[in-house]
Amino acid sequence: MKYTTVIGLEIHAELLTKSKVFCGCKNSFGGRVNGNCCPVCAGMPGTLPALNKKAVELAVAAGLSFGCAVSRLTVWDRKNYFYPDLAKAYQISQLYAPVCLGGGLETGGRFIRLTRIHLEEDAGKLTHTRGGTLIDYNRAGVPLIEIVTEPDMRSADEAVEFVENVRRTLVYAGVSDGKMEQGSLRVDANISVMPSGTEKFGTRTEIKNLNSFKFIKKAVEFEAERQAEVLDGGGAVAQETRRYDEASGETFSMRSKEDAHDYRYFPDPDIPPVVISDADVERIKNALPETPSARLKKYAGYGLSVADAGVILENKPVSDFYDACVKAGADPVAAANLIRGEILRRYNASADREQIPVAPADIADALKLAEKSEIDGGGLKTAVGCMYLERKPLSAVLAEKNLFVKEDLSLVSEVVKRVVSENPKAAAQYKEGDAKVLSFFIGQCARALRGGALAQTVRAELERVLNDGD
Amino acid sequence: MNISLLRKKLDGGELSATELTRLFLDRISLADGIVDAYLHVDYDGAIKMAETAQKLIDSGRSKPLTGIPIALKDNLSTRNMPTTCASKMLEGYVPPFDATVVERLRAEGAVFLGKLNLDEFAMGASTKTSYYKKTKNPYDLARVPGGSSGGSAAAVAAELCVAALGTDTGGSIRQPAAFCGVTGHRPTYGLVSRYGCVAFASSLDQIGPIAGNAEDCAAVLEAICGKDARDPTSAAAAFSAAALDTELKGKRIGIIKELTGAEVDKEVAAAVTAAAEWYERAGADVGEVSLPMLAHAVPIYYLISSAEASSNLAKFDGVRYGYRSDGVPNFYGMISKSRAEGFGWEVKRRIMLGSYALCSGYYDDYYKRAVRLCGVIRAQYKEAFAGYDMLLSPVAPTTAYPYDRLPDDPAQMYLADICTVSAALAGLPALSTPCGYDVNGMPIGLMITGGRFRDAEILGAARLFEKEFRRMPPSIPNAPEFPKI
Repeated sequence: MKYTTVIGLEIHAELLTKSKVFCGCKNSFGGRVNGNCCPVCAGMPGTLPALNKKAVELAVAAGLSFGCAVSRLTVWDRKNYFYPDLAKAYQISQLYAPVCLGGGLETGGRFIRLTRIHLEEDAGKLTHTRGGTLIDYNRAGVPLIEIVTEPDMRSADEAVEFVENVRRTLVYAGVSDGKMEQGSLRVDANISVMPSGTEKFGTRTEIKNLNSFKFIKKAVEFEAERQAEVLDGGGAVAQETRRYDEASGETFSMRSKEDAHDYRYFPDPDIPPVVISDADVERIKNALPETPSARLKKYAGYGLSVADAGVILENKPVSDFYDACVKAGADPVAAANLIRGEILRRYNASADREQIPVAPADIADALKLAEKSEIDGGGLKTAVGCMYLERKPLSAVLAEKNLFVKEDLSLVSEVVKRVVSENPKAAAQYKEGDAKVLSFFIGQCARALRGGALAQTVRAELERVLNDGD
Repeated sequence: MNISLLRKKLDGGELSATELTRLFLDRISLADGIVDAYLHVDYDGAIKMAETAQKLIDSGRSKPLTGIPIALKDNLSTRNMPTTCASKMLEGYVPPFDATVVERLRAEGAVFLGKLNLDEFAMGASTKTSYYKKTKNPYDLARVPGGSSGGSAAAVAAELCVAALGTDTGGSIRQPAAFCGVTGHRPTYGLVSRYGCVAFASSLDQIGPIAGNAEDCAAVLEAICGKDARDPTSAAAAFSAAALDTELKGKRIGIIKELTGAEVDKEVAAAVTAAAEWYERAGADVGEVSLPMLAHAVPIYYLISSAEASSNLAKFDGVRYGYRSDGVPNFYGMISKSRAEGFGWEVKRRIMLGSYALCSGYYDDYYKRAVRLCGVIRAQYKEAFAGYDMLLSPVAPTTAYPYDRLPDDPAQMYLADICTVSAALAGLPALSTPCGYDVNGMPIGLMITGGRFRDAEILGAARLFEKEFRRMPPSIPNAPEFPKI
């Protein structure tokens, strides 16, 4: 039988706060083992959580980016369970009143709905060794948001595209660095299958802790296939939590529904509810940059291809730079081409991925000069290269590198005549009406002139010589 | 002996801080073997602190508590002394930090004599559930000192310290203070930072003073109170010992009807009535006030406090600190065995009760209902305080009972908390001051409950009463006389 896969996701994103959510320890990846760890992180008796309000603000920023309804009261709950990476034996989270409700994100033309976004703290990291299990609490207390979707996705590819979209949106909003390789973004996938053409969802399984796009795709595909085989074999899918094994590419049962934890959630009495005022929300909203979805729409309006828009959107500094160039008066398509080529080549090779060290107004001006043929394609490339690498303004680069086109018309005339006389066959073809050979002639002339003339000057001279036979 | 008298002698050079501390340390070594109030005595540390305090005094920079020997309930974190919560679970545990109250007392130049016994993790009303020792009531060594701050109350009563810190979750300062004939004050919830107090029930726990009198309690409270960034439930409220009320004229005092009837022993009720009459004579308007919900406060208290405790005490898993059972090769086996062996029965009982109350399926019927009814209690207090400034009641239905007459049924024990739990559930300040002695010479406590952050009002009222009330100090058999200071 043919089946449709139904996918809902829980995306955990670490927030970009300077310090942890309930203590003053640094929130940073790596570092000395247990170096960013204090009595609060280690759950020492008597310690109490002191809320970092910035974490709440970032969660609100995420919610606003996805069009969620933002709660005006942040209430915290305790999720109780024993595990060595969880020092207090409860995770401070939000069950009863999440910070954001609803919202969603368009992905590949479909709108994927969000159920909720809630705040919680991350746990520590365990390393299993022969001698025992070692615990690093550096990550314990790092603020997280959990973005929960409705079961709206229908394929592994769609799920991956959605996560990419969410990740980009969070990075743009400055909410998370979205670094999956560092565990900043992790995904739990709820998967079920139903006979194609039917509406009733099958029994779902949950696959925990997928930490790359590749693994999301593989795990969802494997699990959907596995469930289909179970159903085709006359069996029933068991509701359970499963683990994805990266080496084998398979999923394995972790615990069944019967073994599911009773987390005994209750409001955390240590943290008084935090009020988010309308003014807070307004301030956060005003500080938010345009979302990647909005930019994508805008770029399509400029006439950019989906591929070009995607390349520009991939990195926020690039997209910001592009927008600034357009704002400075650059032609959107020409600017996109220039950025795809000359700018991205250097940006990708640069150690500083936070900014592009060229003034957008200079790009706009350079493109205008090229349009007016005052510099040629090669000059434009040189100008951009120098501005990027030598951090110099356009005016200085133009003067230093002597980039304005200076044409020796008698040389052009001489070269054109020589090239035409050396290629009588092509000249004849042209006269017979084959206009395509003109580009062949232009190429030959350009090579001989080595940039000493503008293409249109060469073209005009060629047309004159070929037509007149002079 | 009281703090202001000692202050004068210390500042006047009549007595050095070191001499004073030595007097207490000597007395502890002679008499604490009889009372068993201390779990840890810091002989060397106390002398060092006294020397530092003396330097402050010599330089004319002494504060109200500089050089005053104080002891701490052993659920308050101290970085130089063990903090055991009277549990095997935390045997030998020395915290890497000081509780905020400890930090504040250090900054005052107070001298720490040591750590005091309590019911295990502050769960109990007799100090009998301590893993380490049975503290005796200085008035009758066969009787309990009350609890959970039994060590604190007994130490103050036996003059083994000038003042002590206790903690009160459902009566743990007031009831032992009543049983041992001293003054104990539970501050308004939020007035004192809980940071570093090993949590039992976070929404109820408060740290407060136990001392010889209300004025000394006020001096200690002033030193430890105030907003603390590390405890978000602490309030930006101030308390000043200088602001204690000095006038009773026009004060409206209500006797709580539900706590002065058949619920309490006749002798206890009579002493409280006599105290109320004294207040009337002193110019207060005394009436009777009814808070019907108080009759149901005990189950509400046990559901909420146990639910929070089940979560707060989950961190004791043997992984990072405290007791760990050896020889179990897997995590869940290790923590199960460590907790089974590390906790005593009373603690386990409450963890079980609290876990049950929070389970899905029972949450609404137990925990949530208890929280809702707690709101009703608060509302009834609010209503009562619209007509009255302070409320009077006994602290406990009986005086201190002999160890061998402790009820076996825990529910029976819990019911004895009837007088104290309501003020805790409402977050209100309440104190206990001696108001009489029963036929056996055991002290009877008068409880005064005040409005939110009206701590100075009830401490003032207690101070005025104390000026008139004749105390009968305990005489501990075989204990040396305390030298006259």
